[in-house]
Amino acid sequence: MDAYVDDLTGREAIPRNCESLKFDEPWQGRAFGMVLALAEAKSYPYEDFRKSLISTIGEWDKTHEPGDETWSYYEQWLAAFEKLALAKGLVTPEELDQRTEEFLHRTRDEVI
Amino acid sequence: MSDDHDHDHHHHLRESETYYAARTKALESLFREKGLIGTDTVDRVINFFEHEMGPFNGAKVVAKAWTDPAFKGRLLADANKAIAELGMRDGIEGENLKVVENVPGTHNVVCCTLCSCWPWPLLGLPPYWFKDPVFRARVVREPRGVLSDFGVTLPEESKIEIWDSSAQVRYFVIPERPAGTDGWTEEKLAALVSTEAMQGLGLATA
Repeated sequence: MDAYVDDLTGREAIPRNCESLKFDEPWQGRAFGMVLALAEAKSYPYEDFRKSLISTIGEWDKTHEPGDETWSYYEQWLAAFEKLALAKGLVTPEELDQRTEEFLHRTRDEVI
Repeated sequence: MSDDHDHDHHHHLRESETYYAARTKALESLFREKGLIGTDTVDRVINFFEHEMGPFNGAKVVAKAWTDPAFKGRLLADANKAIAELGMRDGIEGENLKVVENVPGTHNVVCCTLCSCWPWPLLGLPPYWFKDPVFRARVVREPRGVLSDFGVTLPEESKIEIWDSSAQVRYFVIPERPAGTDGWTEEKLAALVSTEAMQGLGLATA
């Protein structure tokens, strides 16, 4: 597990906008864990995720006031992760949207 | 999202936690199917953060400091070096730890006024109250009021020191050792130490 820790020494790994790694919802923990798991599995260098996160948060900052209550660190995290996974071809937009629908409408019987 | 209808539809869904939960499941489901991660991989990662990095580490450090003055000296001088003696890693979010000690007459309180800098290796992931904007603003202005919300009443003459953690320095408090614990084992002592006490928002009591 040391790889996770070593991969995360960058300052950008720090939640940057007064949020933190505290999971209010189970999906946040899953999203957090997946990012590290795939980095460990060498699907991408952790640095690539860090860059994606920085640019995603940067975009949000440009379009929102600093005190905007809709801010959610893990929504940014998930968006950054999705972008990276698509860019790296780990998933296609079509299969991701389709499977999301399946979980939303409970037509998929898989326990995650 | 190729057209406006689609965009609005997704925007609406994005408002809800249900969407994020489904989206996250879809990602994990696909990664498992493609063999990029195993079925237990994500659990393993979360487990690591829950079990390898948690307040039990900090409590162990406090108990050791209470029972071993030489260790306490080293801890106050160079916390990162001292916790390595106990086999603890200081990697993520713990590069520059600074330990302060509560003594009779002086009580230390830690906050992070700007965000939620927190000594992860010693305390795990930060609790809700630490990142609460009201807590962050109020603790500096009226620490006694905040302490009393946490159930801590200090003697009038006690001095309160506020330490503002940042990405550069993350503070950690050694609470006062409770009376009546002479001869206790480190393990028994560690059980008295709460997360709050290690940030100065609680007391260790026997």
